[in-house]
Amino acid sequence: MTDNLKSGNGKGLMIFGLLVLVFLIMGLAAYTISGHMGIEDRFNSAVGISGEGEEEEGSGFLGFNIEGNQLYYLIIFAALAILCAVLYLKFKL
Amino acid sequence: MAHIHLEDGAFSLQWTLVWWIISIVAIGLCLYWLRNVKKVDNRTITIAGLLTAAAFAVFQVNIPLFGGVHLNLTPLIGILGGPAIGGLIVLIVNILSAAIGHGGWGLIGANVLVNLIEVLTAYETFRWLGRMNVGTFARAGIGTLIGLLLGNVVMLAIIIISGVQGVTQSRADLLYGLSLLAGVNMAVAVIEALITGYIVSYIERVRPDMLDGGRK
Repeated sequence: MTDNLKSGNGKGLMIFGLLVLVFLIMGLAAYTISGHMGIEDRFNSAVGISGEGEEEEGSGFLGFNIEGNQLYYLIIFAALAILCAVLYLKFKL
Repeated sequence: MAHIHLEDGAFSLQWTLVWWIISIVAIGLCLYWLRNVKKVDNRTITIAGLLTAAAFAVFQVNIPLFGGVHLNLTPLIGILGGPAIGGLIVLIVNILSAAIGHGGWGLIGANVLVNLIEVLTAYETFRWLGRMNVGTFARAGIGTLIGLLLGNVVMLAIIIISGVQGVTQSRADLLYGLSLLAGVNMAVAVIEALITGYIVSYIERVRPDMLDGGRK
C-alpha cells in the first residue's frame, strides 16, 4: 500500500513537473512575443482596443498595488474579516 | 488565472445578457445542489466565508510579474469548498470586485462562468487523481493547472463568440491576440499551482477533515 502510494506520488509529481515546464515555456514564449505590459494594456492589445496608457507601473508597495478603489477594498475586506471571525467563533471549524 | 478584464460595453447587450442568464442558471444549479443533495453545515459556511475573504483579498492585488498579473485562488476554492459552494463564492467575489471598480458589472456573468469552470475542473481533477493515489501536492497542483487552462479556453471562447464592440479585428486576429494573453496567464498558473499545492498539503497535514470538498 505504501509502495503504491509512493509510486503514485512519484508519477504525480513527474506529471506535475512536466506540466509546469510546458506551461512555463508557453508563458515565456507568449510574454516574449507580446512584450512587457500591464494586465489591462495586455487585454486591450489582445482584443485590438487602443490603449489609453492609464496603468501606472512601479507604484504601490514593491510594485504590488490594489486594483480599483483602495478605500472600498479596505472597507469590504474589513467587513469580510469581521464576518469570518464571527462565523469562526460561532460555528468553529 | 482567467478573468475578462474589459470595460462595460465591450460586449453587446445581447451577449452580456446571454452570459448573465447562463451564469444565473449555473448558480441556480449550485443552490439546488446545496439545498437538495449536499446539505450545508455550519463548518461549510465558515470555510466558505474564509475562502471568500481570501479570494477577494488576493484577487485585487496586482502582482508586478510579466507587467502585472492577478491570482484568484479559484482552484483552491474548488478543492476546499467543492463546486456548489465554489460557484457561490466566485459570484460574490466577482460582485465585490466590480463594486470596487475591478471589472465591469456587465461582465460578471461571463466571469462567473469562467471562474466556475476553474472551480469545477480543479475539484474534479483533484478528486480523480486522489482515486489514483497521487500525492496531495501533485494532485492540487495538477488540478490547478488544468482548471486554469480550461478557464482560459472558456474565456477565449466567450470573447470570440461575443466579439468586442468597436473593434475591427478579424476573429483570427482576436484568437491570436487572446492566445498570447492566455499563454502569459499559463505562466502565472504555475505560480498559483505551487501556492495551491502547498496550501492544500499543509491543510491535509494539520486539518485533513477540511479536505472534504475534494474527498477521494
